[in-house]
Amino acid sequence: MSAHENSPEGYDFAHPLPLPLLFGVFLILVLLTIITVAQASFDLGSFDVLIVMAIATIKGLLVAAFFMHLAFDKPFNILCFVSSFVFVGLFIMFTLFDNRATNQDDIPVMDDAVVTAPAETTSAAMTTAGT
Amino acid sequence: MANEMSSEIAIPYDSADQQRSAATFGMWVFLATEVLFFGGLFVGYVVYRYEYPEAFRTGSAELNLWSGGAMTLLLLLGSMLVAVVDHLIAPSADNRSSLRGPVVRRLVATTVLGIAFLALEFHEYHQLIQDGRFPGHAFRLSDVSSDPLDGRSVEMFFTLFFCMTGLHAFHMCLGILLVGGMAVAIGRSEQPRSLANPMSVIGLYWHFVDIIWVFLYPLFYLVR
Repeated sequence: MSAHENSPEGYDFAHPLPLPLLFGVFLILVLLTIITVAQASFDLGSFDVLIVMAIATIKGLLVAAFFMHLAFDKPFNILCFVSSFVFVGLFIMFTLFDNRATNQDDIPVMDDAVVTAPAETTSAAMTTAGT
Repeated sequence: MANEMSSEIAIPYDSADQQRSAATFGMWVFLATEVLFFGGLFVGYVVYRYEYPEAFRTGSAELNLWSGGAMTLLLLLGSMLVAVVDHLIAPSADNRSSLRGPVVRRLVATTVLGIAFLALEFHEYHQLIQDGRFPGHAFRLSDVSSDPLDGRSVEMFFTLFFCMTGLHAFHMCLGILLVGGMAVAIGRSEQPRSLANPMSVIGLYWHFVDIIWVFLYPLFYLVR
């Protein structure tokens, strides 16, 4: 039976997936989890984050596509779910842009002279001001 | 099969397909809002990790890597069982033999796996709180770092850890109640297939909670 033959709209999301496929996806997920844990023993530097997040993304996609039947679902449902991740991605991206732009370490300090002024200069200025 | 299904169509719908389509679409919209809900916390995580990468490494080393891995496997197994239940109970499934027993057994197993997940998580919370890693006045940083600024950053790591995993645990509690409730409902039902729609929708929720953990695990346990 074709996966898309029952629904009048052409997307039979009620169609049960074959059990061997579900077991196969589960085994891949277990394998990816083992790889994720194992790679923690190796120091891959800054690639660590990229690797574990890439594996997590693959695992998430597998769960969504097969366990949640998203691969056989209506395009509008897929759009609805995926767009939420896109918006979270945009939120993260623009927050990081803003964070970087306003980071104290990245901004040239314009009033450095005031901060590093000798003590006598500062006290003379305060006396002149009558404080 | 068509006659069996037509008697279960609710009033506003023209067909079983339309009813199922509406139920599934509603759940996808809800899950999209859940992604945005968790998204705020993920943004907080990314910003603080960007600011204090060393403190996050220090905090992550305090967590039990193997416990987190075992929790991941429990959730994945639970998800697979729910997917199998979805397969068995689907209206278009070929299996016409009695499905109540197999479905209920798998749902009960999923509930037990969920409870085991929470038990491991709360055990870890207990250990961390005993070691003074709970944010607030009781937070001890002397054995974490000698630098007070780094200590506060490690405290921020644990603030995010307890908030994000705690929110996930709350979702797990709801999922356990829903899956357990569905096991009872199917166990009592004369026509288990009439519950295919609610089962499918609850299954989507359970899988979603699984996906959230799939991302939380590396973010907190594998920052080494």
